Amino acid sequence: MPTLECSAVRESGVTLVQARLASDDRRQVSVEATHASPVWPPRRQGVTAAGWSDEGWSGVVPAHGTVALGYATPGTVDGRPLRIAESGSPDDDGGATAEDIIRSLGDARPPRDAVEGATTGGDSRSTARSVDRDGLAAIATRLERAEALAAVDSVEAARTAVEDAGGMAAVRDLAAQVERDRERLEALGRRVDDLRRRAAVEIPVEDLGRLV
Amino acid sequence: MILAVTGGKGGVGKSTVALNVAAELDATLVDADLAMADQPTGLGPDLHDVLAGRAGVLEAVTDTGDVRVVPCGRSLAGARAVDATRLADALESLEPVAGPVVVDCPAGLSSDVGVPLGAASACLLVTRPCEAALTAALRVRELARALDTPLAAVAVTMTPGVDVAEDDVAATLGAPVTTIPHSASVGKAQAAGRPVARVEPGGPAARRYASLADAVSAVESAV
Repeated sequence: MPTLECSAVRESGVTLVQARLASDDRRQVSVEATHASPVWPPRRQGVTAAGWSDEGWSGVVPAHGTVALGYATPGTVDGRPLRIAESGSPDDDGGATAEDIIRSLGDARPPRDAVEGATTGGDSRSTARSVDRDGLAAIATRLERAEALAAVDSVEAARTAVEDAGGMAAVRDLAAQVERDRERLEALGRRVDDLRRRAAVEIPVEDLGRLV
Repeated sequence: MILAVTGGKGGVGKSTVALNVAAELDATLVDADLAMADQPTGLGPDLHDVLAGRAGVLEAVTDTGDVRVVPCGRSLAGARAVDATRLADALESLEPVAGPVVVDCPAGLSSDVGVPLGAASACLLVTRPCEAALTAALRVRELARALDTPLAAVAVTMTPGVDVAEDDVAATLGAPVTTIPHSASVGKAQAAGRPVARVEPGGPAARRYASLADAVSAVESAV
């Protein structure tokens, strides 16, 4: 059973009510005002805070948790300002889903433009890593399709090849991807060359052993 | 236990706290800062791979010698290709096998914080004793509340010469406060990807991280 503690204090012509709801298990609880004067609920971002209405508040109290509530009312309040109107198992099955969270808080991924920029020139290390990730196999597949399109030697062959590729829009996309693959392979090649040069280093193991 | 380490404001020492608390709790650290990862990395698949469906989360666990980590990728392309909804499932399937999980969440209040915070069983807020950091921490606490994730503890990372009224911060944020003293050894250890308890065992920072871990464990076992 949820428990409710509440108190009221009169200040500058307004009654401020504070309350604390506690529960051992996760519960949907509604509390309502016992006084006739209206409930002035808290506001967030310019709108009434979640769960509040003219009657009171309704929401979920977490298991072994507490919810602190506060509101104002213009009139004076005798006795307990709030009481528990209803309590039961929560309406939802466990709170917001990941999809709900993304919908309400927004997509946090870097914008597409930032990513396109990163694959041309710039940091050859991250470009080279992106080739590792996608796999040389994926690049090889695109190059096979590109080679087939580059090998056409008649109008009929051209029509067939473009149709196989999925139309001119797909052919243009493939051309742009191959351009990007070329740049990424060049960056990977530079990285491999750089590392190959550095791999010529010889650690003077015996000398170091004698010194330390 | 899935403990989300958040803070709202960047630069408060969240990643340092996450690494050190994970080491103290013998937990698996997940670097969920998808666009600005900074925890130790490994050679195998990383969290970008897991969230793009290229690897399972257990394949991505690597051991640095001090702590088990699910590292994050470093490329923007990798961050762009993730399906953030997979993170909740990844954390939930990691925990039964890998034991307690500590999630290093990004700064801010976007869904890349909301998703791990929603999946977590408790939250550890990291802040500094300045208004900007405390305001941001308050907002993250509101988000945690909206997602039904209880606040286990607060870590206040100190800067030299600045005092903090621990009771005031504890009252504002609603959880016990552990201050982490400013220490060159913490910075050096973090730069090397190591918990300070391995680099300066028994030192003042190591002892504070041990207290912080105890505070978190006490709340987790009460729940």
